[in-house]
Amino acid sequence: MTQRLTTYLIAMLVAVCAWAQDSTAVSQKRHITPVRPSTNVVKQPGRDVSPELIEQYITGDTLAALRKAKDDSLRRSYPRYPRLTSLWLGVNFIDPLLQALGQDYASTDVHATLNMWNRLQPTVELGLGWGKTRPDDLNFTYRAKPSPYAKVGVNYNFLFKSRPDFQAFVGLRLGASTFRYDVEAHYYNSYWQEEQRFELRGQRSNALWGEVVAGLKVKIVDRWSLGWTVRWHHLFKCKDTEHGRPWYIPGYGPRGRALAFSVSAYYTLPLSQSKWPKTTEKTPK
Amino acid sequence: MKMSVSIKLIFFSTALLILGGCGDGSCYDNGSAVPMARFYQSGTTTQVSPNGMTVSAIGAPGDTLLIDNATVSDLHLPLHVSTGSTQWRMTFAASDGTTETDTVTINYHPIEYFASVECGAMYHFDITGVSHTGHVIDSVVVSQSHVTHVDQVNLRIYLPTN
Repeated sequence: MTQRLTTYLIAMLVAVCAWAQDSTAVSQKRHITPVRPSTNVVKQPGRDVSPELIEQYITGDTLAALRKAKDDSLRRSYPRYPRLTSLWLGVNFIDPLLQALGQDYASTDVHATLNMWNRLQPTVELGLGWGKTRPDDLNFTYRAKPSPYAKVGVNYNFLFKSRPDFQAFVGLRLGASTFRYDVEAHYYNSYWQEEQRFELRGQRSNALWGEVVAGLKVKIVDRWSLGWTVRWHHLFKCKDTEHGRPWYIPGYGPRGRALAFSVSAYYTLPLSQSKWPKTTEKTPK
Repeated sequence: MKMSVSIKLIFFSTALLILGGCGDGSCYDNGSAVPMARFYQSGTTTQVSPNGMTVSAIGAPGDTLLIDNATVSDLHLPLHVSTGSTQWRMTFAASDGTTETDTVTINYHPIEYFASVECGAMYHFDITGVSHTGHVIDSVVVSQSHVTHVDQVNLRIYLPTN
């Protein structure tokens, strides 16, 4: 009896082992994924990947090659211009033109702007402003004598990924001027029927102001460009005298006017041009 | 190439828009500096408006009346620039029909002043002293001695209750 039972258990054990071995073989088969013909190709490197990088990828340091390929790709998407990209020299010429057309005042300046990384642009403006007004229905002649002004500031170019030929920028300026003016007036009091003339000669004042600038600059031909800026400005300080308040501030414009406009011609001197990223003309598909 | 064309388009259209702008040339203050007097009840800060009042300057051309038998609370008193002193004759009418006249003398120093392109050039004044007779007026106080073209009370004239 015992011998039969033992034989029976051994037979059961052998049957279970055989089934387990068979099921393992089935699950191993499931891990084998057939290769589809469409994906069974060798991925070609991009057109801009250098042969040295491909060689590096194949022969050994695969991770370093992949890292370098990614950096190169970013560099192509965000062209990095050198720290000293270019220098612009400009002349603001719109006010003298507008004065010839009847405007009462004019400011003109020369300015130098250093284009750094095609992004940040510190700038200096040095100029001269003057004016004369004699309103028909009022009683005075105001002469703003030619007086100097200076501005310093910085621009931020939003088109830093593009060629420096085209710039769209915003910026800040700090301006200062010291200036002189004369006033001749004719005063009449109707009650006393009294007429007086007076002159305020050699009035001196100074002013300090800030500007928020937005502008565009476009290449016209070769190294020559045109640009305009619109400027919102705020007067921090302007010295009033015992005899009045200045009307015109060189570089700022008429007091009380919040907006100003300038148009400039620029000459661009490229710097470190050998370090500029290579630009490729895109061809339509 | 496409970007350069669009930037040039923005450049010229915005320049035209900005050049087309213009400003407002109005004067929002007075065109001349005239001291303002206001009447108060004596010993209080209560404003009063005398009835039947007549005001003229002594020495004004043609004895021109500034106020002729009117009820006023504020008076604008134009000053004679070249003399440095102006006298004002103020006649008050009582309810019974009688009148009393006081004289107010203002001494001042004129200052040539250019206000703005909109308001023009004018004289400002520094009041150096005020005197008056006392038939009706109790007192005159200089509340703001610098007279400008901006509206403000320069003289407070105190009158008795009745």
